[in-house]
Amino acid sequence: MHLTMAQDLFSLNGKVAVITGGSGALGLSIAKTFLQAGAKVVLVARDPESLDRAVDSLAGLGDCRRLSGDVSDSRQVEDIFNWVENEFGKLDILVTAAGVQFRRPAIDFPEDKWDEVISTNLTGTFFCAKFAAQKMLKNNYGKIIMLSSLTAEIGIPNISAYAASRGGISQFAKTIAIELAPKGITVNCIGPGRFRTPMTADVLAEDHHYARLIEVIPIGRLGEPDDLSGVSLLLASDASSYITGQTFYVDGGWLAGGGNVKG
Amino acid sequence: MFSLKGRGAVITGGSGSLGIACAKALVEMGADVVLIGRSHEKLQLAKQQLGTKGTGRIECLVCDVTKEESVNAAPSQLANVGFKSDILVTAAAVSAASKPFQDLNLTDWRATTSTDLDGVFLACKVFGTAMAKTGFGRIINLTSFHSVATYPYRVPYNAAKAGVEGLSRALAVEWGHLGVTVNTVAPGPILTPRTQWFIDQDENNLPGMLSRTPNKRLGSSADIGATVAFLASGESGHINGQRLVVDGGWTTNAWWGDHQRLQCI
Repeated sequence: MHLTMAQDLFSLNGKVAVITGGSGALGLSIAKTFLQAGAKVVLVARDPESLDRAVDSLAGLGDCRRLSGDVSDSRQVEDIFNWVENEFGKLDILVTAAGVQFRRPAIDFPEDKWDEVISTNLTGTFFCAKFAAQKMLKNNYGKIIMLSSLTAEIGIPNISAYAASRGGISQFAKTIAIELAPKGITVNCIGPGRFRTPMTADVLAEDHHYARLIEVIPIGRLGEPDDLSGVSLLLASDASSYITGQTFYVDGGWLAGGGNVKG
Repeated sequence: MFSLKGRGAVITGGSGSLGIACAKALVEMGADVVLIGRSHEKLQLAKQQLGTKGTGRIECLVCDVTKEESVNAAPSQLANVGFKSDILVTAAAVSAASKPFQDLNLTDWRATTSTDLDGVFLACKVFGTAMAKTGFGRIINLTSFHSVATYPYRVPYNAAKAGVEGLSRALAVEWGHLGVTVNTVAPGPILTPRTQWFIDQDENNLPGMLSRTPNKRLGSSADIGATVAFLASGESGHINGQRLVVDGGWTTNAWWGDHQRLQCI
């Protein structure tokens, strides 16, 4: 009986999902979860080779397609969602996990890098939500999940553009959530804390940084990509039909502790 | 994913509509559930309502969460019938009088806070401390969207719910490294008997509530059960100290117009 409950409430059987940043660690983990829950998944990423590796790693889990594209280019984004509609006849779920990082103190932050981070992380999320919602509105049903970050709430040095993009995503999500709610489309964010991914590898490689990071996480460990499995499935499934406009932080308690070192 | 097979869950306010909905979700996910409440008769009715189709056991325990000795006695009573407490859901809440602040006295204040805040303190202390010793625990305290934004004339309730938010964050920080996570679920207006009573007081109440809710409907108890079941699972392990608001977008919304007439899209 519990399996029936799980299948009913958290099932993605018959759903079609697009995941941007699909070759990244977080997007890939979410893709695995969705496939296991029964969804058809389209992974989107810029680099065809890493996209191929990502899709190959999911072999045997279900119907997973690949589309190479740049989310910061609105024409490419429109083409992606037109392709999905032509291929599957609908779109149910969008996860925007495409993101880039660049670390430099704000006073030395190169303008081209600022533009690059904002274009991919924030403008790319806008383009994807816009064109995805246009498809979802045809069925009065949709689940949009945007990857935000703990840095939408707190300041961390040297990542001005990234933090601005993530804060912008959380606020954008609230606005579009209100607009789309009457049409059966929910919009929420997942805000990861510090996760072990290639994007954080450079910081985590330094022992003194790693030790300090762990000190402010009450659970006492970094997040792993699979820590997003549960919350992504909750927000993608009908179990969350009354949740919209929210950001769910997955940070091991970092925010609750306010960055204070464990006692 | 999200299986709770082999887990034991304690639900305070187990005979209330939200407590029953949480029990239904947890039992159907495979957990054994103990409904806690003050009234034996109401608990039995709740158990009957839940039926026997879930995979998990359902037991009832008479216990008053406002009484320290009553809560202290609960774990040994549960152990005697072979129950372990891996999950705690605090859904106990009272229907206190709604009054302007200047008309409240300390008795009114305590009539609400003794259950809605002190009761959560005691349940967390007794059951959570036991969880911390085992290295695994999930505490889910039901608060309210009134801890974010509120109506007038509910000072004790709002203070209690906001207090539970603070309590939960503090416990999350203390117990995270012990494998116990502490989070809250904050429902918006849910169609419970108490909300129905409120709706019945004034014909403008329901249209007013819906006009503030982007999702265009009141929440159902099942909406809360689903979120609680997720937080009770192993898959929520890195979510700690968070408030999950389930309100159809109410507290996110600042739009003053009628959502049902949003036609610009």
